[in-house]
Amino acid sequence: MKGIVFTEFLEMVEDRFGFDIADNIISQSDLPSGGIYTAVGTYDHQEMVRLVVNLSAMSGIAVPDLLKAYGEHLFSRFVKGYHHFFANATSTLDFLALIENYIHVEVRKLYPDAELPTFETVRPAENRLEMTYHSSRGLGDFAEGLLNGCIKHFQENISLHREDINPDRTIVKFTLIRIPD
Amino acid sequence: MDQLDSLKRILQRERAARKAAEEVIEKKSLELYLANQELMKLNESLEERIRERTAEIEASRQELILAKNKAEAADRSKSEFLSNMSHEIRTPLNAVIGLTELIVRDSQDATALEYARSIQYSAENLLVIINEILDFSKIESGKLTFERINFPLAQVVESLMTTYRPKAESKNLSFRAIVDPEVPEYLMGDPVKLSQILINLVGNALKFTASGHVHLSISLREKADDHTQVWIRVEDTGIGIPADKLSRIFESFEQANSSTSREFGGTGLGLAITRRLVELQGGKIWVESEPGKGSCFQFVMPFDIGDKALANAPAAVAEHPETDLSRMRILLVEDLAMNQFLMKQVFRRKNITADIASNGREALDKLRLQTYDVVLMDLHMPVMDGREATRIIRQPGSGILDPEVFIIALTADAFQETRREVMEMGMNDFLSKPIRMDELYGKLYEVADLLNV
Repeated sequence: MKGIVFTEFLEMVEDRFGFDIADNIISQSDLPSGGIYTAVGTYDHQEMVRLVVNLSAMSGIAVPDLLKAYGEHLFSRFVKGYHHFFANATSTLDFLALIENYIHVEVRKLYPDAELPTFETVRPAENRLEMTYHSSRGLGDFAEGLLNGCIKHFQENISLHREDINPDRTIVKFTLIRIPD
Repeated sequence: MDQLDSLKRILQRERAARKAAEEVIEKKSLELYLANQELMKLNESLEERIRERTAEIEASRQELILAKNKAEAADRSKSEFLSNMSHEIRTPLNAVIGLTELIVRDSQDATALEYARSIQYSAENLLVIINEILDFSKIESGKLTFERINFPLAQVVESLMTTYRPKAESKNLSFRAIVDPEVPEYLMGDPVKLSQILINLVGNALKFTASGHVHLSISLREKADDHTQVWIRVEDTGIGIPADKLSRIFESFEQANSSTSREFGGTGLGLAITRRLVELQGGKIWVESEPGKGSCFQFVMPFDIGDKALANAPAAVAEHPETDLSRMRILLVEDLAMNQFLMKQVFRRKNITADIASNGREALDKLRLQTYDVVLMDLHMPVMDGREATRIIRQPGSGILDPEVFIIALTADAFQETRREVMEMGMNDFLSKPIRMDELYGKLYEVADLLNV
């Protein structure tokens, strides 16, 4: 898992829950990396699982909720750090349709070994986009959070439906329907 | 509290620094990636260009090979055409020469004899021309090979003088051969080709000289322990060659001027063939000439010095009037009715009755039924040619009653290579067409002696 997911997560925890909590979950998680992350590194995704589980325990917020919230937050960070990806996209559906064939391609240029989830997108109508998430990590909640972040960014009226295709949530189908103003 | 605020600010700064560093790394990574992509593209386009160039080179190489093969095939078919045509023309010509010889021998009528002699002369001339064309095509196609045998130079010179003396005498020319005593008696080389060169040069000199002399002189240019450079000059007091034609006189189809062929005839191939024969043996030929005064053709040719002890004694072909050829059992294998007729007349003169087979297969049939003293075998025949027939005759278990039977090849060409080829095939001897009666009788006497018929 890319380092930026860790660095942004810890920053969010520090901001929203405070330095003590952030320091605590790192200590409790017994991380091979020691909790020392940089955005350009790559780390075992199990470290993220431990951090989230410990934060959940400490904060009393359910893991799926934490993941959704973090996804939404991370998207806003992406907008800041990688604004060039947003230069040509003016709507949620247009931008999401570009993930697989543009953004992930660019990411692989920098990190050829990055293990990225795949998104199959189908756009049956101008205002409808069906995205199927595939990932062995089963982080459908995190993906949902990211999608929410995206919808928020473009400030459009979009309804998001989620359907877990299998129980371990390695395949999750999202349907986005834009409701014109 | 102040200290905590300070630490927070420090943390903020460190974090900002880390992010800035990460950004720099990503930027550099992207630049590296793009530079790499450029290099890969460049590399690919270079490889593509190399592939294209290689393909182009290969294509033009293939084209060249194709063009070369085409040119060679065209050249080969030209040579083959010449060779075939010459052969086709020689076959009826041989019949003309053979039958004319019969008339000349048998004729009692003076006028008929004179006509027959004229036919004989013209036919012989025509044969020379055709032989020249055949020789030339053989030289051009690189099929000419040279013998390397011990031979007495004097014999070559003597037979040349014998051939041309009547002609020189008829024109009242002084005709002499001067051989420097320094020249080794025996040389190692190809006497037939040397004769051919001399016949051409001396024949030309006699042809173009109306009065005065034609002199052949042979001396040494160089002599080492085992090899020499023999210098041969043919000097005449003939019409000469204009200076501007001298350089082209040895080219194919060239004569000094077009009136030459009207007045003196010839194919324009003689000197071209002569030059090739000299050069292919490592020699050099040139000419000095002054119009109205005469020409001097000369060549220098390397020869190894021969050894008298190793030389084959020249075979003496003697008439044996006491030997009766009529009891010889002869099988003639010849496809052309005209040649069969001609040979029958030739046999008849010696009271020989020969069996005749029209091709190799018929010959095998006869040889399986009875034995013969000698088989006269034509080489070119339909159904089965003379080569194949000979191979089968000599092969064990072929059912031939006498697999050792004496076989004389009858061939249309007089090339040494053909002679060697038929000997290697298992034939015993060789006669070239047109068949001269005396030669044929001579061979038959030899075989008769050999077999005690």
